[in-house]
Amino acid sequence: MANSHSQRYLLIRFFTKDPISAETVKQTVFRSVEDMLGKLGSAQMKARLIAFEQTTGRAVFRCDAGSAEKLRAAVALITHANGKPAAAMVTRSSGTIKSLKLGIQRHRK
Amino acid sequence: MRAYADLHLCPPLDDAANAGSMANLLSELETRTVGLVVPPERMGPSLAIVDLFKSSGIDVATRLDLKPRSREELLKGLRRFRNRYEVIAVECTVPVVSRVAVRDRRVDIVYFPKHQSRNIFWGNLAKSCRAALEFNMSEMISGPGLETALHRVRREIEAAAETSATVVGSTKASNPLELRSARDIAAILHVFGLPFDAALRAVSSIPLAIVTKNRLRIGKPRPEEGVRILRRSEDGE
Repeated sequence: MANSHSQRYLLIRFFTKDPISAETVKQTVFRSVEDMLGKLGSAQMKARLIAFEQTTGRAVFRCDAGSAEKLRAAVALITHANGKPAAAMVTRSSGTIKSLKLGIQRHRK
Repeated sequence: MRAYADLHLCPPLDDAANAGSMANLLSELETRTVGLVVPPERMGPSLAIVDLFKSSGIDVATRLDLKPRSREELLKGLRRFRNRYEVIAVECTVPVVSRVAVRDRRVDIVYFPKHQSRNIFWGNLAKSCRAALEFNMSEMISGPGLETALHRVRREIEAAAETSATVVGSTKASNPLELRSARDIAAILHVFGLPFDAALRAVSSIPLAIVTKNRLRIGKPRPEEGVRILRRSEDGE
């Protein structure tokens, strides 16, 4: 059982035909979470956009550790961003943002 | 480290750019094995698209989706193609086909299309299921009626969990926008009621075991009825 204060960081890759903004990413993920879990579930998840890199379409989200699976599921249900076809997938997940960055560097080597 | 597999990809076989893009994304998602749908008329020793996936470090298993309308059509298809493909899946559109497909041990995977509202994985069908039940992400999330589709997934997962039927999670992607990470598919299955371990196995060890088992079976000398090949030596003896 996850500690109620512990958090999880997810690296999410957005795949779209046109570039998208951080605001669109945030809205798309939160809408998907709300569609799946409702407003209460969304509030309990405590999801937050930490960073977004437009050139690569990668975003880092933080959420409550116990809700990481639900955030993954909500991300997998995304089919549109700003009315245009899109896909989102979690490529890496970690307990700290530092090890998430280390993981990315290892993967690129 | 866990090896992930996606046994249901159906990209157009002549579109190399689309396939290349899918292969790159799958490689980034650390998917080790994919099942590529190849129709019998295109089945040959070398397909350009297979080489594309292999060059990205992805193992490719050939898959056939049988879509029979009757019991006879299903049995004929199995007799003809079982020994030519690494994965045989049956799309259960008609109840009479579903009843036979779930029991026949030559069938690796069965899946129930979203639009067939009267033919679902439930009751006796679930109890007698020998094949793995497949959930396809792209079918689940495409088009209208997401709530209905998810409700149905929940019911089918419940039935599978009650009867200990094997579950497999795939994407049925034909382009990069339909691809999903295997781990995310496991998350969906878990959120909709499958135990966490079973959900992880549904995208890793179970699909990989299907491919391994069939590769041994397809290999040259065929054993007697009831004899199972455990492994082959280096020289194929």
